[in-house]
Amino acid sequence: MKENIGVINMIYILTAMYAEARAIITHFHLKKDISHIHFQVFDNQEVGIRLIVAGIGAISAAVAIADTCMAAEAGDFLVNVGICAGIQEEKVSEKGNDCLAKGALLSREPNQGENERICRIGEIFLCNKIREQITGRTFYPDILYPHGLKEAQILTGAAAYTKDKKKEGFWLYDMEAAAVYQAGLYYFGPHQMSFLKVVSDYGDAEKVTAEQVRELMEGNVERIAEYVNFLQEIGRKEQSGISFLEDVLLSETEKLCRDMHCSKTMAAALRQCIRYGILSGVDIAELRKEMYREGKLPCKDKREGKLCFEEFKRRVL
Amino acid sequence: MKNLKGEYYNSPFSHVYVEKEVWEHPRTKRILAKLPDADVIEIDHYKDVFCRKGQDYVLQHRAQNLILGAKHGTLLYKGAPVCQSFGNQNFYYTSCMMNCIFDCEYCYLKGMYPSGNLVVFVNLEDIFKEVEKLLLKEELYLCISYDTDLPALEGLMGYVQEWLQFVEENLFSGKKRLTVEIRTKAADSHFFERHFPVPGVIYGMTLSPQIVIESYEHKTPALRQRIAWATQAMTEGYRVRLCFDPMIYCKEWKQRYSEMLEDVFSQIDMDKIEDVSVGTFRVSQDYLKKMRRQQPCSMVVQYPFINDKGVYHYPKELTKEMEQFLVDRLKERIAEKKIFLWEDEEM
Ligand code: SF4
Repeated sequence: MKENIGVINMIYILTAMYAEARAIITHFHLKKDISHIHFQVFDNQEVGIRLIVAGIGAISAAVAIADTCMAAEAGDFLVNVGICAGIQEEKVSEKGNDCLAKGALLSREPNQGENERICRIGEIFLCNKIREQITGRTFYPDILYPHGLKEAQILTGAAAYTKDKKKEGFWLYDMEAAAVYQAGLYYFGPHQMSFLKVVSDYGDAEKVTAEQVRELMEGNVERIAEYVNFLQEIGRKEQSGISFLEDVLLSETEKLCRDMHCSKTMAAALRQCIRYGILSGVDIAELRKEMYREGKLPCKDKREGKLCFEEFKRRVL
Repeated sequence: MKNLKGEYYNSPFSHVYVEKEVWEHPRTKRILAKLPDADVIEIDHYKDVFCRKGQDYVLQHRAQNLILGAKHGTLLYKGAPVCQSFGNQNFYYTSCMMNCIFDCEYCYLKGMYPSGNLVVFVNLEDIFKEVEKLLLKEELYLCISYDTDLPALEGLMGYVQEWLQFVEENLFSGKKRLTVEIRTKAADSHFFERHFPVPGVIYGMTLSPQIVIESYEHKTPALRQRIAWATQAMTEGYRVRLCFDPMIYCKEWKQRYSEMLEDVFSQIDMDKIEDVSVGTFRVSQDYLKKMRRQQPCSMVVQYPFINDKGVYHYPKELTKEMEQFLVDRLKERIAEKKIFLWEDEEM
């Protein structure tokens, strides 16, 4: 069973380092869950957020997801948040912009002492394309909701980015996104996974201190929180009608199956009929009571149950 | 973070995925020029996006994105048994698009495709070549709006226009006869300003009672608009077929379908109709299973259907009653030979 309460959906936030997580932990008042041995996990059941500090690299990310996201359901989301390198220098073609994309609207202010860059230090991006450098496989998380962030494409490598590495036309570089997507796919669909990346460097990550990472994340925590809250709202909205239907369906099917002595096949047919009845506005509980009052329920045996089901079906349809 | 219109989902085609292969194709450029605000993402193959694991058709459809690619391999398919061929022998269909901007809850595409995104194949010229090749040997009856609603996308894609030109050119080429069917629920009155009637093209307008449209055929034009479109089309010399297929059950179906027919008969000159098709809702069991999983609250797909050799349909008596009712009413206004009933078709 899912651990969270009622229709509160769970947002799983995955970071590689604690420094990336701290601002989010503070913002959402997350508490450390000491029951986890291998990873630091922080959560707040009331708001439906669980944050996992996975460690750096693909394997850590994959294991952390397997360890903590097993209970994920429809309406839950996985958000990979962290820093990345901005790897693409701006190329302005004769047409003005060699990308067709609106997402290619570039930050044109150069940083001091740097070439002109597509992404500035401290800028946050939502990734719409992720390529695993080592295999060349590419993944596309769905972007279904309005978000107000810039979008970018990210390359995931097995080691930290250095300037001699190929860029393959990508703007951003990290060490986890592709692994998070692949591992996440066991528990989430592409519409449930998001990748928020803050640019921390241009390929000299070794110079970035933990303090700087904390500051970069603090500078973006409001945007991240807004995004997470919106997912929370969406998840709730999408699931609300469904959970009510499933609750009624479960309790009515249980009672009627028992009293009609249903076989497995008949139980499935009854369940379908009840579902249709609920959707078409039939008061199933009242119908059941009516059949009790008329002495048609409970049935003596399977044979009587079959006839009773036919009668029930007639009244529902 | 809702968008400016206060909606929870991105507007349609906020993202366009473009296959490398068609990046420079004139149709790609033409389509993208009409979507200046879209984020355009380069992809290797349309299936990299369309066939991803774990997609949610229904959610994707609410923020439908566009995939532009090239179709290779089989370009024309022999008609499937669960569709009507109107007595035509060489019944083929082609998919120059996959999926639809309309959102009918009962649409089999929800069971057939892994994704709710719209795929448009921009290499229409290859499909045309394939049709020409077949026409050297035999006559052809070709459905081009099969796994989509082509006219609904005409403003953006212009594919109906291109097909009309192709069919017209073929008329004078000395090849075998080509008849094209364009099935639609679209009813854009401006259609007639930019298109012209071609003798080899039949428009199949699907009609449903307004209550069915409102309940299950989301984003589609009202019955009134569809009737008006069919009326104008015939006045302007287009060939029009009326499709009462799928008929959808609701408690007061008789009354609803009667009202619909009254509207049809009072406005459409039934003598000028090409023919009509009638059929109750039916769908393969694999598709329905998926449709039900994706739409747990949809009355139309959650109806307790009967499974008959892998095809789900309404109970036999109900099917018969609904279809017969409509056929009988239609017979009062149109010759029987012009009424095509699904049951008449061979599996
Ligand atoms: S108009 Fe046709 S193709 Fe489009 S959603 Fe409806 S049934 Fe499907």
